[in-house]
Amino acid sequence: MFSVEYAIFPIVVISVFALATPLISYVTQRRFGGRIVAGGAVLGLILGLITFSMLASVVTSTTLIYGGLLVVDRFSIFFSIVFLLVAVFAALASYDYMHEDPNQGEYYTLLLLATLGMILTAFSANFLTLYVALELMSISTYILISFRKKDPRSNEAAIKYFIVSALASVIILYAISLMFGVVGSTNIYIVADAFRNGSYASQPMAFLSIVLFIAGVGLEMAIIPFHMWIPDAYDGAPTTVSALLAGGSKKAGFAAALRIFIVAAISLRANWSAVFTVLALGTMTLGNIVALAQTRVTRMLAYSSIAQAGYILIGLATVNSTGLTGYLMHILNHAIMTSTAFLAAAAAAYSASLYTIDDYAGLSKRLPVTSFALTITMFSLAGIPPFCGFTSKLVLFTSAVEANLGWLALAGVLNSAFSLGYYIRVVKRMYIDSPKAGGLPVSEPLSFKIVFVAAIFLILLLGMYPALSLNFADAAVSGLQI
Amino acid sequence: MIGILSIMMLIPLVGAFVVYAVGRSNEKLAKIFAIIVAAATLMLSLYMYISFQPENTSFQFLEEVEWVKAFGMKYIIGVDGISLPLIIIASFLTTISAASSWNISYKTGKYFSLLLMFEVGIIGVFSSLNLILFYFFWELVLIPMFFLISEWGGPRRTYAAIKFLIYTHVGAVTMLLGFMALYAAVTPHTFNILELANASFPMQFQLMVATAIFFGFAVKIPVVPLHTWLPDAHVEAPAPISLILAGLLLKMGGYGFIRVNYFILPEATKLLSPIFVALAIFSIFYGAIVAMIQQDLKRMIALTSINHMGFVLLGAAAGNAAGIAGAVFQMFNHGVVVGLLFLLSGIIHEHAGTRTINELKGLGVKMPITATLLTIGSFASFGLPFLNSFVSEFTVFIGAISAYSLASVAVIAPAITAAYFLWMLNRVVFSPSEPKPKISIHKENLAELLPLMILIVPIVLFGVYPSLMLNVIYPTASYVSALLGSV
Repeated sequence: MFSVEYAIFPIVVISVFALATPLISYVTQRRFGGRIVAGGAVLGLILGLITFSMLASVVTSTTLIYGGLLVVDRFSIFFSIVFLLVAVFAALASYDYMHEDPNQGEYYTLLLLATLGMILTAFSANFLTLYVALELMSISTYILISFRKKDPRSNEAAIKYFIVSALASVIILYAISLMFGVVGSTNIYIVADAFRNGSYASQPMAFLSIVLFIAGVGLEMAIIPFHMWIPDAYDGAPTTVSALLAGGSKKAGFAAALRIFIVAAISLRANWSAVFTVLALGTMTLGNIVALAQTRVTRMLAYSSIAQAGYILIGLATVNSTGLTGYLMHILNHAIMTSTAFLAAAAAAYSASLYTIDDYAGLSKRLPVTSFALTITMFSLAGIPPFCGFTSKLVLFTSAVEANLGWLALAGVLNSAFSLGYYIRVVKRMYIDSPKAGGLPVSEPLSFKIVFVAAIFLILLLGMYPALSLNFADAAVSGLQI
Repeated sequence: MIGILSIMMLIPLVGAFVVYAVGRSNEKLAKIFAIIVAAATLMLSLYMYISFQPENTSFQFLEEVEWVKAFGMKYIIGVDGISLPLIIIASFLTTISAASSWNISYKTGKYFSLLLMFEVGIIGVFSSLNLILFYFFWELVLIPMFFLISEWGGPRRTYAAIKFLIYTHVGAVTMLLGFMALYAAVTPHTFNILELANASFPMQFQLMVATAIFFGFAVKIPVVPLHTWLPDAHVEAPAPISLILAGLLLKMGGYGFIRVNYFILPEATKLLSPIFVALAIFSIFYGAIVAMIQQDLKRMIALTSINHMGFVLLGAAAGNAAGIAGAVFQMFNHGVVVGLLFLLSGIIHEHAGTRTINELKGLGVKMPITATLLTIGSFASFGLPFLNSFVSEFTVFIGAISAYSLASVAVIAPAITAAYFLWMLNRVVFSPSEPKPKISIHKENLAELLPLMILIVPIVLFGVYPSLMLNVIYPTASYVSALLGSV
């Protein structure tokens, strides 16, 4: 008989692997280098992914467990699958990318703990669990970003991320305390009930708490005007970690936003939905315009991910079921696309020391698999069918039209067309321009190739048969409220 | 059960992968295989022509499969009298294009697999009856075309390819916005053209959506002033790719205009049609006049496309049976004629080393067969009777003038077209070579002229016996015009 408490089984698996990793590293480091630890981490993540995928068809209701600290529903399963997918990609690619690093035991431990933090964010039913989960994720990622401790860029990135993330934590904590003062509980579902039955809409403390939540979660989601740290952090961190940050930890902010605004504060939607409308417009426009001016690939991808966060916010601005479905779909699709793109940049940097867009000239002749994967991702990010970036954007923009926000859909569509300008520049460099002198073909590491093939398969599958993600996202959204 | 239309897309799709794989080891085999695949698709389209029932105005060869039920997306394809001629011309011109690409030697496998990928997209556009499916195929055409221009094109190919991509993509997303508005406005929400055609929308909404959708089609047709990508893309692309660009890609715009604007938004399209007619007449004259002053033979041919596609829009915007039938027939004919002319410009460039009209004197002596073909192609292009374009342009005029008597000014346009073609022929074919020619012209090669000779067949056949095709088009055209008339 299935009991809903089993749903935390994969969490336990990942925790066990996370805690065992330093030990394994200690035992095997001398003889095998980092190979065994990396293998163990990937194994743990894949086990988690498989168990969550199996749970996806079993969990059909929304159940609070452990005295209302955690909630098991399809929403949390959906996000866990997203996070684990990205983490598997990042860990697999790190197998080659990090293999010369002496501290691999710590690296994989932190990677697993960060992933665990993200998953717990999605499972949180209590503001305090949410806070602790976000902290678990943030503290692990501070260290991951600064992992190249002799690289000044990496250190600068870590300090920026640390300050911003600490600020975000403080703001969220303050918002939680205000919310507790108003309602008298930190349980998200009790808060939701209180808001539904009482008249809090005009209460100043509730209002302030919402404002602070927007700022705090906004820093995690990196929407304007809280986006400044993203380009430095993504550019300075080891690029496999950037893939985890852009595909995973940023999405944890989106998961938290949905729990806070759609579950807890849905009754106060008049107070916040208009704000997200403006933020969505500003975020996508700014991200796309600034991305056009970038010369380093990782910085361009960072701004592209800001722009994509703007598209995702459309779902939060429309607050209809189509919009929220699109919100989840685009989170899944963008997580796959952006982590693949970052890992392609990592492959180019690792195999041939290429960093700027101009360096990529003639890359298709030197790193054919990487170039092909990056091309597919670029077209997908630009929203060209039959790739998955198209379908989720379609759902998002359609939701805006449905919600009588036709101008927002127009802005999204034009932004999307505009973004093709900088995405296509990368493709042009790789396929049309000829390589500079000395650009000989280099070998592509096998682990990267595996990731790219899997990612291309997923991008095409979710693009051609979007019913897979659409139905799952739809079910996840409809089960949000108890 | 998988139907003939799906098979027609499946064959080139699978063929594309096989050609790519074969091309890595044996280039010649890849070429032969690509031509066979394209020809097989052509045979299927001819089979469709034979088993098509012209009097039946509903969709035939219909196939329906649920795709994403929750979002009104359905795999639904079928043909009627408007799409059938375009599907035939698509498979025909792809075959000709593959056959005339015999000399391609750079990345052969990739070239032919992209060409077949393009065929999948174009057949999909002409047969899909769901707006999102339509958009899928619409963009599927874009990516192979981008790479075909940018990797095998002329000296300014990168610029031309990116300009082409951005122009048509901006048009496409604007069109998509219109599709989304239609989806949101109808209950139950759906993207199916047939269900949307039965719904009725308020006028103001229709006007906005019709404008957004028309913008996407206008970039593809192209309508002046959205045409500037066309000369660059057509001139820089290799000749066989120019053939499918002008012969097929432009038709997506004209087809989409009839299929979407007329089927779903008849009232608004009818109201806006004076504007469309004005734009069409402007494009016709602009294309003709700008083509006249060109020095480059290929650029001149590219600009005649603007002129000829103006006739398509003119006929379609007239909205009566003759106009719509003429527009569809004109798309069919223009594809054949402009394809012939582009291939000729490619062959002339290869043999003479230049495309500048003034330097090509004496071509008629050195390359008699090519010169004859150029003469026939030019005659067909400016609408000489007994050649195919005459019939379609004449039908368009009948339709346009009976709807808008002012449209009769467009009758002058073929005179301009005739003038610059004859002037070009006078300089290239009918004048003797200079005593000390600046260029040396190599002897022509019969094998490479073979695809061009095949193109002569439909030019003459449909000029002498147009009802072969008009009989297929006309019943559906009158059905569409009745949609407008009932308003």
